[in-house]
Amino acid sequence: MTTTERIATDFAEIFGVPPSVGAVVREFRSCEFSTLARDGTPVTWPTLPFFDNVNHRFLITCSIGLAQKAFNVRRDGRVAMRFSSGTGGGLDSPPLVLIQGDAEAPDDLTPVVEGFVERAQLVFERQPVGITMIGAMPAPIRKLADWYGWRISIHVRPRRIRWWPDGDHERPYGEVVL
Amino acid sequence: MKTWRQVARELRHYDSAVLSARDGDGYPVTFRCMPAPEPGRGAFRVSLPEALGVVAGPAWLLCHFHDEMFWGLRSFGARGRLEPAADGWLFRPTVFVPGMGGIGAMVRMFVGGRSRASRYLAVRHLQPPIIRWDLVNEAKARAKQHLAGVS
Repeated sequence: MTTTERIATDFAEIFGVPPSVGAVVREFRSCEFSTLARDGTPVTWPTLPFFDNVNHRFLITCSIGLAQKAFNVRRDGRVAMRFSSGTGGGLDSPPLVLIQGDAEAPDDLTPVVEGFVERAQLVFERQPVGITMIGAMPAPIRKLADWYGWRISIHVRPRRIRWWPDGDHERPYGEVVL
Repeated sequence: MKTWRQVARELRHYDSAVLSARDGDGYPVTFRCMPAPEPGRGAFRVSLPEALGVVAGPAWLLCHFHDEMFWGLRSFGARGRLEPAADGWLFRPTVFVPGMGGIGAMVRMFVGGRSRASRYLAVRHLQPPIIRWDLVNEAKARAKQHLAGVS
């Protein structure tokens, strides 16, 4: 007897969480990404996470000119990603999602070419003003802004996923510990 | 009180805030809340879901906004401490941190960013990485095509 094993390709399938949690990870435009500063403060800023369903981790990037979150990760890899702002995501009553994980930020600045076009396309589709801005940018200005494209990759491997149905913290929550 | 006033003034422009603290394992833990100003105590009262296992200590307040087209970005942050109180929890801000929004923030980001990026490369004796404009342009073209098909 032969069996064909289907490989899980979606966040929800991979981690065994409800499809609504997978939809949040896929459709939300940003998450609130927390890294630990030297004094232990969990510094949090909105950022764009991309789930890498081959390596089962998130990719977040930051410019080397705005590298504090990478410096923090290199010192202490404990991070959190909160998905709590659904504007533009088109989901009806999405759950609140909190993912805690372990991150690394390698020194290598070689751009991650695999999947680059797909990720950039997604950003342009979600933020069409980017298409106009890059198109309208004269070459000398583009040159001055090149530092923004010199990016550090931060990889986040989830260790604990929690979700609150209908965005309600008062309700019992679901949890997967990895 | 200066920091408290700055935070209180900015907070009015947002529906809610995101507060980050740490749990018993030392990991960051983040939750949405509606901070209530407590000017007499130089702090903001917050309601915390018990299930998060938050512990007192360093904390961070973030407010941010984007529109449906992922533009009109605005944000600010505040460093501070989360403290237990008789009537719940208090966030006591100590440093106001400007974020996105307005020309000033954009200029600050681009001027400071370029010099920090140059320093990053110099300290590590690195060459600037090559930006794959060919891939950026391909992505742009695909997105334009997709958006034209959607509208």
